[in-house]
Amino acid sequence: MPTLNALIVSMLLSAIVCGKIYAAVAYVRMREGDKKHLHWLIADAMGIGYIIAYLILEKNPAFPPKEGFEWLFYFAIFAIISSTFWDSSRKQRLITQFIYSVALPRILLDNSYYRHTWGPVEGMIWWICLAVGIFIVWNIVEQSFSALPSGASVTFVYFGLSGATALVFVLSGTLLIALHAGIVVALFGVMWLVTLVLKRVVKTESDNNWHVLPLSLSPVVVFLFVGIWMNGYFFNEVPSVCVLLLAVSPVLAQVGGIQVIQRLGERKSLFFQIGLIILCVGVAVLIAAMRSGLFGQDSYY
Amino acid sequence: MKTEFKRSLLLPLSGLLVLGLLIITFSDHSESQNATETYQIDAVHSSVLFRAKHLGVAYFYGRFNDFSGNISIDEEVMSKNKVEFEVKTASVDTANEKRDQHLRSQDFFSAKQFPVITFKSTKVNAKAGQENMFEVTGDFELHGVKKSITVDVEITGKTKLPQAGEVMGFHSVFDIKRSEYGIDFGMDGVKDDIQIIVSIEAGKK
Repeated sequence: MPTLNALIVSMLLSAIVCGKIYAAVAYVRMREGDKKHLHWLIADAMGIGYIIAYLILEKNPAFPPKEGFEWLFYFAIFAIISSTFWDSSRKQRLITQFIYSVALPRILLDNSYYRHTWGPVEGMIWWICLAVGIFIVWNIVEQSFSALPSGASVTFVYFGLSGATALVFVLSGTLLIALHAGIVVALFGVMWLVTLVLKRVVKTESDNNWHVLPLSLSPVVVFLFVGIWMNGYFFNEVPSVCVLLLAVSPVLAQVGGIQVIQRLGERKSLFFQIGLIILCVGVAVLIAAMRSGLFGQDSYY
Repeated sequence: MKTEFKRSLLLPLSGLLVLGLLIITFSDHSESQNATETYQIDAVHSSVLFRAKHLGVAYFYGRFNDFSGNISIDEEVMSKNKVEFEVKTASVDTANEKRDQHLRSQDFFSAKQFPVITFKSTKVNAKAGQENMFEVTGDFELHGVKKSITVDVEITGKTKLPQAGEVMGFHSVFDIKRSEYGIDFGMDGVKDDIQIIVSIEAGKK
């Protein structure tokens, strides 16, 4: 288990590495316009940032992993590799999404639920449901990247989502996975700040109407979030309703496409989108707080 | 004539030999069955406790409510003595639901991933000069890490009850370092050394 020092060092170092790569790429994109070959570098920034933090926190990654959270390291590597070809074609992307959605639950739960808890039928039902769920979440994440206006809003939304995830996990009595969510908070936090600063400082000479988070980032985001949420629900006692609310919250970015909301103007529409997402993750945090017994007799131990 | 006599003798002799072997085999088997007695742990009258030091200040005790196992005792052949024990990690109980939830999580026992703690003996020796004391060596598996440990076990009593039959009592206290089993969360709060106290009442099967 990492110490507080290791946690601070890991968050700082991963944020610095991720921030530097992300800032360099974002700067080039702002100055010279969006270029597809730069997209995977943003995924690398986040993936490498997470791997650095993992290595500081957990020292040696176990192979084969015995515990669910130990898979997060390998998921990050898979995600980085996948991000290199993510922009190639929609068909290839969907096939890869499907394969990963099917493989991920089996890999993560094989040592535990498939061996000790579930029978063949129950296991198959869970497998299908989880694979479909992950596939849907993946598409929600990808669509949220484009549904939110260009600017810092999308990085802010994911910064908030990872923060809420960490908070829900702490309230549910699992600090280890909360730390991993905390690393994601640091990574999205630095990306949000860098975007804010660059948008103000850099004078753009090109059309700036591209998405801050490219589709190539989605494997990293999905692998990390889904890995963390599944660890929370299956190996700890995070309430299922909280995990579901966190997972579906980015879909609320789609309300920006509704004509009534669009008519409100760009600024109000953005507030509406972000407000709904905050409300959704806020309810998840509230439920976790209520179930935590935070205000009960057992809260101190 | 002589050969025929020999043949006629050979048949009953070989029959006798086979019979003799059968008697020896069965008598040996029934003897060993009688000598090895298997006792099943009575969880209602047994306890599995653990003691941990909190903040380096005071000890607090917790228990596991769900466990099972068998103890085979052979008073003649020491190598036939066996202990098999299994504790369900999800049954941890420290009289504080929030703490129990935390102990079941991946921070400590990771109860969903590692649902049981097991002990299987590999060697049992009587302790020289100490009546009813045994040294039990076995594989102790906790949090997915298996280690060979040796613990002292005392036979605390033996009686025969009309309703339950023959019952025996066992008691063992031993220490482990939780970090050696990959449970190293919050070492400042809960210290590394954990004492395990096992008090067993077992009924003859």
